[in-house]
Amino acid sequence: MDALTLVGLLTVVSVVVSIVIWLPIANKSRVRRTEVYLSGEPQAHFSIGITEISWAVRRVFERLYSTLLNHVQTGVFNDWFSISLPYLLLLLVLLTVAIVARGGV
Amino acid sequence: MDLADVFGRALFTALVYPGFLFLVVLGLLSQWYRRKLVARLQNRVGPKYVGPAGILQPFADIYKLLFVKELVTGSYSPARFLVYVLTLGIAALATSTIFLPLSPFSFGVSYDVLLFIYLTLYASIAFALVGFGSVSPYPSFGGVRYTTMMLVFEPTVALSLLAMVRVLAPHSLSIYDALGKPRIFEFNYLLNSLIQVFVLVIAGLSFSIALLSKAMMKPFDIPEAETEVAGGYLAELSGPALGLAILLHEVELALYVLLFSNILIPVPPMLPSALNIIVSLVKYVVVLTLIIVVAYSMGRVRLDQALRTLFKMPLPLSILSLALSFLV
Repeated sequence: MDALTLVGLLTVVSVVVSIVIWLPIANKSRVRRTEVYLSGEPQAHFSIGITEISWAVRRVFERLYSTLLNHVQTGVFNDWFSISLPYLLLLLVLLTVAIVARGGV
Repeated sequence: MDLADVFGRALFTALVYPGFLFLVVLGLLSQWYRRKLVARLQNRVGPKYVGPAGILQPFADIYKLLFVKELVTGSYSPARFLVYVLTLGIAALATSTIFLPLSPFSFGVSYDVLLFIYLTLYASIAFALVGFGSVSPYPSFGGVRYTTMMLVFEPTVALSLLAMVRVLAPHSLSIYDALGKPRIFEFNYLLNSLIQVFVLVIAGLSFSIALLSKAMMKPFDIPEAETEVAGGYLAELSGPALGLAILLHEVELALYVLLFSNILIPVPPMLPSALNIIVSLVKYVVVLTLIIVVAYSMGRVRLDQALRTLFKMPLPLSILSLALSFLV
């Protein structure tokens, strides 16, 4: 018998034997229980639901969020004005450039 | 002899003797012996109630697990097909016994040691798949730990087995010849080839250490460490899956110890006669006792310590033994 036939024969015998062992227990019933799990916590606690997506987004944009929170939305008007003034000036410059380029209003 | 005839004989050998039925009985009796011996070492009684001296306790445990309802805990339980993976592992080990001379039908061919390694690898893959088959962290840790160790112990087992078989059957590299017709009976073998005996000893040493880690016995029971990872790859198994995982473990240990004991003590050879089978089993019990006593007198090591130990001693020894076996 050549090696290839022998390897094939052994593999087929293994599969047949495994099916013979598996058949008596193949249709055993299963009991489903999911209430309490993993250190006493329910399983739902560990899955990411739709509500957790906002947390994920906030986590990804953490730098932007912390900048907005700490420098803009401080509740002090002057903080808001000092942040917005450069943007307002930039808008003013852009408007001037557009008017000049167009040759008048 | 046509192919259908060969297939029938191979199927009988793999299913009944010395395959599945024989290995299951031997493995579960060995489990009882191990539990009893370890209990004695630790001043306990051990299995007691089922059968005389509790000898039927492992059989009762496995029977109960195989035919009880399986508890499914959401997505943490491994998929159903893993039960089949475990049976495939057991079947591959059972099929590999057709190369043992215990079988009344001769299947020994040249280089069958490679086929033996090919078949027995399925058991390790089944253990790793069961670990990775669950999203729960404990079996995943178990799977990762087992796979990490597998990268070292599988080559060690394969190389040292090749070296030992090469010493006992240098022309055929056949397990059948190494166990049934070992070269050690040749005239003046010991006087002319002391180096071969040396190779047998160091290959046996590296094989036994790698076997401890392959069988997840102390001090290498890291993949199923109860106090750290809650049983590791076994943590989410219940019912038939747990029963099959335990059975696979016992069958693997029984097969490897049976092979190793008869290679290490090649006199008298393993043959299908009743007396030789009894002698082979006596050798099995002696080597199993040694392995159990050595294993259970040690504590569990960490994964990095285990890897360092396996890299430092058994792996280089197995490479050296195989190299030396080719020199002579």
